[in-house]
Amino acid sequence: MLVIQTILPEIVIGCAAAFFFGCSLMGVEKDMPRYAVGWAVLGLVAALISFNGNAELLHGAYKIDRFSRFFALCISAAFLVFMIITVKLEEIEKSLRTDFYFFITISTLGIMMVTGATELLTLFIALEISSYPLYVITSYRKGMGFQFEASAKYLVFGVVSTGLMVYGISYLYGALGSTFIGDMIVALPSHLYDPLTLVGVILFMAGIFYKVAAFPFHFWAPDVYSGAPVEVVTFIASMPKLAAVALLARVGGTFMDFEVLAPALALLAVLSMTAGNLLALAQKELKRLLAYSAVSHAGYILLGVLAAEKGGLNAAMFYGAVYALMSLTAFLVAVQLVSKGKNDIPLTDLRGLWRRAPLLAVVFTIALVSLAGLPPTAGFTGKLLLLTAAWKAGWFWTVVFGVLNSLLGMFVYLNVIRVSLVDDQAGEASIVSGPLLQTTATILGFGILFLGVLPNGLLAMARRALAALLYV
Amino acid sequence: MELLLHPNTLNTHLLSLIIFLPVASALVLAIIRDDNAAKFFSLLVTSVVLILSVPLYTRFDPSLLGFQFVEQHPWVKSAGLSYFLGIDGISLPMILLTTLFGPIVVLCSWNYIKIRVKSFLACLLLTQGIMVGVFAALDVMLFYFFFEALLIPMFLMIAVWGGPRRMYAAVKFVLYTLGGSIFLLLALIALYLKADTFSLPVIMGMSISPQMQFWLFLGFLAAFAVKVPMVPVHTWLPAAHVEAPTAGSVILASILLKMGTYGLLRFNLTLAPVASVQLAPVMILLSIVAILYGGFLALAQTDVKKLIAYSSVAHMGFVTLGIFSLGMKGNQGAMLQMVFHGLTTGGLFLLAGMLYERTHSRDLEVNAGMARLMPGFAFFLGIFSLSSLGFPGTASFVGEFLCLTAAFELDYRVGVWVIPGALLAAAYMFRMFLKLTWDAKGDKSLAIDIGFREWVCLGPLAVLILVFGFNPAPIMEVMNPALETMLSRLPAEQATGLIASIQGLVQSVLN
Repeated sequence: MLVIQTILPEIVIGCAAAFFFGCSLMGVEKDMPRYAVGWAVLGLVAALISFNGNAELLHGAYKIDRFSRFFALCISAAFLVFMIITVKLEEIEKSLRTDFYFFITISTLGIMMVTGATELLTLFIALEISSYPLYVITSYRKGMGFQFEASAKYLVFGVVSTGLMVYGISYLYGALGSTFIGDMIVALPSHLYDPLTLVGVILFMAGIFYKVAAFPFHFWAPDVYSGAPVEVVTFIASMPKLAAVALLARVGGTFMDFEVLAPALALLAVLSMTAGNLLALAQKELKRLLAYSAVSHAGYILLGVLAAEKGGLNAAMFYGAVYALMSLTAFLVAVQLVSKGKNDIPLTDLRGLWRRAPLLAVVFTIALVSLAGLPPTAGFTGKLLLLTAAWKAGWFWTVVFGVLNSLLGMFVYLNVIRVSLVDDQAGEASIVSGPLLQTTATILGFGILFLGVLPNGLLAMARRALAALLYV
Repeated sequence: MELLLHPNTLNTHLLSLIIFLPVASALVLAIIRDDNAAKFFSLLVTSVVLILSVPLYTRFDPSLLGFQFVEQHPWVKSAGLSYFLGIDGISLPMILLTTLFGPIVVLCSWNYIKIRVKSFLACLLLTQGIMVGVFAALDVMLFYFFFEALLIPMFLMIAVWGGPRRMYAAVKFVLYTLGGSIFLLLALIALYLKADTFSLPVIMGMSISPQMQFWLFLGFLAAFAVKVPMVPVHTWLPAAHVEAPTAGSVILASILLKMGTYGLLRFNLTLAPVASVQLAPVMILLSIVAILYGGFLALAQTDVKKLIAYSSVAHMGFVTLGIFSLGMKGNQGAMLQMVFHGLTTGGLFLLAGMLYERTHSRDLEVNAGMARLMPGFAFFLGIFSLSSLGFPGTASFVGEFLCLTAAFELDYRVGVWVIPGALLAAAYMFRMFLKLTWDAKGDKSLAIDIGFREWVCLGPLAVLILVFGFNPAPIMEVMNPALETMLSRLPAEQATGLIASIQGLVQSVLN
């Protein structure tokens, strides 16, 4: 396979970004959503073509292997779904729509690069490429709302966390003498009790925790989720999570060799789950609720990192992909619910969803049940794998908190299911959605059930991806 | 002990078919436009399932040890999961009970459900398939899959089509059940980490330390005690029963509660035999409490459905008493009582639903004398309430009598405490029966005697109750070998009284 063939997804997404940039410069506004979906399809095709690719670029700083291609596939699939969901761009300022597409594609490119980077500076640059566009488009919301506040918060928190991360990288470089992850792993065992390395690792991990919105790095999430346009939230809630999981799998597992850090990670995981669920309980607005739900799911994913050697990473990767799927599905419905001139989606807006859009209501319920972690959905299977791995690794108490949290989570999501399936409100107009959206919704709903009942395929893919990682 | 697995000679996927035909049909409902067509379609599907389940009985060979109609396919190999179905003498009666109630619950909802008919039928079909799955699963995680998958359809059934306080009842139902079953999940993961598989027969062949058995027992118990329901975790039941539509109440009473006692047999007694012997006195104590407390509460109710709900608590107390007497008689009695309570209480809830359809009230005072004006209704009410109080000649008598005998054999003091429970059953059932049948009041304009559809609902149940009341042998033959195998796994030394065994318990945990 030619090198150019192996990095085809990056090239396609890059070209898409250039295309939208050009359109934006020339002021072309017509048919943008169509082009977007078209480019996303091309991206998915490219990811499929390059799936078995194997190459090293930039002197080994960027690696194309099963691992990065696994994520490239997940990312481009999620990207396509995202483009289809947000085709209407209801909440984005009209004159900024072309720019919106430009920034979104650039961010996707960055996310894809995160999964391939094997050197910390490359990784840092990739992370920045994925984050900066999001700071910008958070403020692209129509009308006067909290978008600027949200954008500023996102920016400040984001910059601080990247700052911490870079600081950590500098420590790590000082201690281990290299910024290549492969070399660092070799050097690490002799530095396990070296405070300098420890500080470096902690700072580095803090940057990742910010990305996944794990407790106590989650403070940006609810405000950004509620202030940003729903389309941007859909993106933030799914795609960067994939990058974060890749990052956790690539570096987290190895860095967690530090025995001192493992209890701290366990504590963070449990606090994330619990705080996320408890705070979600109090929410009356769908986007904020989903933000806190993201916090609690980050906790579950951290359990996988904790049990890295007992199959936890495999489970975490599975759960990461599943989470992106659930999140996109939930937001598919949220996007349809946006009403003009309103700043948020109060849960009461979901009333009578079963009558206004029966298909969406069913799909939405499947996504919520999966978020709550009830069989036969993928959310349950993923949690089962994560908890089993954590227990195997000897973290019994985190498992107890894990199952207790699924009870708490049930309480959260049951309330939403109740509003959308049981409550009724006369007079609300039915939600019209096109055949493309309906097909997508059906596929996503079935996908959640399918991965719940038959997780083999995705698990095996994740396992192969991980195997590629261990050669590093 | 070697556990034998026998495939089926007739059709190798019979159990899967019975499980997934209704589930798939629930999807088909989405494309049926007409409500009436949907009703007939659901009736057809459930009837076909009932017919399909007949060979399970006719081709079942009680003399074979182990499981029959076995289907086994690898599922998620890396997680030790397999798609593993099979039945023995314990699960067969439960599955037949489930399939029998399939058409009945569709028929009883025919006019009762007025809104969102198709969605309701879809919920019914889903629960139908899933419930069979619970009883047929031999992979413990598959069991859990089915056990939990039931929650959402049941939640919706109560929450959407229930009475005025439906939301409270539905949420309580889900949270209680899930609150219990998360501990079951922990226990199952613990088993997996020990056995490296979720396969029940493999786990049964494994030796588990008494200490682990103790914790497993508690984990299982947390889930199943809620389902049974045992006092003090029974409070969801009256709420759910009262608020659920008729079909929901019937499913809850006839089948869902049996999942709890089935789980006690299948998991607690089978996988934690030592702990079962240790903890049996506690369980017996709880059972006696349930029998008396449930009885007294039933006596005080003015709401027909609530009365039947509390009577269920008492009756299920008899079942758990029988199970944890740990003897053959007690377990036979418990199994019979499970089946017969299903038939009887299912019938009573159907009647309560029919009454509600006519008078729009479940209050005893409002409905006083209604049965007098409806001879057909009174006829069935008589049969079901007599059976419920364990009158000789009706089915429940056999089960309750065996449980009582087992209690006396265990210790006369246990028996003495249970006897008032049997009397209470007579008291609250006769109170209801008298009020409904012999009271001089009653609104003639509302008294429309039961029609053909309702006869079809109630008839089979009444016939079975009388037939089994005189001759329970067909069920006994099926279940006896399975019960014997299960009880033979229990350690020889029996419980020696409450205090002593609690002391022993504390010691074994401290060790």
